[in-house]
Amino acid sequence: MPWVGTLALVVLWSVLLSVIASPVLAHNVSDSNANFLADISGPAIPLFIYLGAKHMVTGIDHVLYLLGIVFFVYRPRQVLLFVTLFALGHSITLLSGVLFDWQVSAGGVDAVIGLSVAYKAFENISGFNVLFGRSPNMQVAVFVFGLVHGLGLATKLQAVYSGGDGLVANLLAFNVGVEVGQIIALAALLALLVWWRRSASFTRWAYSANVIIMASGFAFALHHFVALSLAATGTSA
Amino acid sequence: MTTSSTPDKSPLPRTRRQVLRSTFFAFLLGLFVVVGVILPAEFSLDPMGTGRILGVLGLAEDGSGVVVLETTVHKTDRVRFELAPFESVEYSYAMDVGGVLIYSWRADNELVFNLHSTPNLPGGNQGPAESFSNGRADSEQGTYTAPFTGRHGWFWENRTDQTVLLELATSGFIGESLRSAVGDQQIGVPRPAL
Repeated sequence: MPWVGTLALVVLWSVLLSVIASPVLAHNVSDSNANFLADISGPAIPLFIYLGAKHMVTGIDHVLYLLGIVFFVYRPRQVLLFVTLFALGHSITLLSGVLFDWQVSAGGVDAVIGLSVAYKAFENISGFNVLFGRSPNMQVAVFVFGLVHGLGLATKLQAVYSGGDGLVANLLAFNVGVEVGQIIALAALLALLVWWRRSASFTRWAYSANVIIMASGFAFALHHFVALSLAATGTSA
Repeated sequence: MTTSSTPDKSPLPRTRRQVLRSTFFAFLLGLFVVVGVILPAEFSLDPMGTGRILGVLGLAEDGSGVVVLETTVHKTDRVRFELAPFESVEYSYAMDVGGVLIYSWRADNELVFNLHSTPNLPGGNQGPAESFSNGRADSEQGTYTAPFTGRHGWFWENRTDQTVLLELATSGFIGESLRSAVGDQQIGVPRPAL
């Protein structure tokens, strides 16, 4: 079934293309959501669960990283381990970032998140093993990049929600929503992967697919790097 | 060392060369997407001329949507209301979709207010009201863009036990004003600004 591989590549290409549209499609809680949130005071649990889930499912960078994590992981127990480490990492920085009001550059964090996607794909094509003879511990890497993704989540929430009354409840709800969204995204990814792995084309195209994921990660990182540099020169000019 | 940390069935590339080439290719592809497409589309910079070819250049241009030309002169309106305890007033303008209204209102005590609109329906009826700003305040100012053709305006109610004076100043692409309290209706004509 050679068409399965072609289809999978087309899907990945459209993922890459949606990275292009990411300023519009993904990542930022949309303007209308932001206006709505400006009026919130007190706890709004279901609303924040929804926002967390929406951010995760529509955040192409998080989804790509998840895809990288599970791409070659076949055993459910291993999937659970990696995803738990990722969730643990991003929950720690999401909660503390918002609670203690850390002021980090959203664009800078997004650039590193893009690099984390490229890193994961590079790891998937055994880049570390082939070039350096050994690979950094995968579990540690997933946890550490989880911390970075959590920082990104924190900056997005901080940008639209100033806290006040009900902050802790809403923050926890947002975190729960992020995990719900992650399960939704993961379910879709695993369904596609399990289906694709049955065909011989998986072995043939898996390598190229990861190269495209890597390219998406680089594009994402460069995009935010360019945006940051332009903003920096814009203010000094 | 690598047994537990390598992917289960990763199709290992044959050589260092292949990994280096693939990584370099991935980086170049990412770079090309950013420089060739994202820069022109999102930052209006077109170093390779690809933005013009692909037609994405200017997508983020500041000029788009900043100026909206209108065919008629804009009008201004200034009205005062005196609201007895628990008296309310409804004041609205006929506006076409996309029309902009700049407004400020100020009262000498707190009022319950609601800025809302009702669309014109075929047959001269008004559709259900949609509310855009409401609460309790003694003033508000802002810009309003009509989401549809219909009537657009405020409801104010004095819930205090004293008379409240309210003053509204507006300017924008508005048609006739309609003031309705319980039992009476007054139609006014805002004056052209020029």
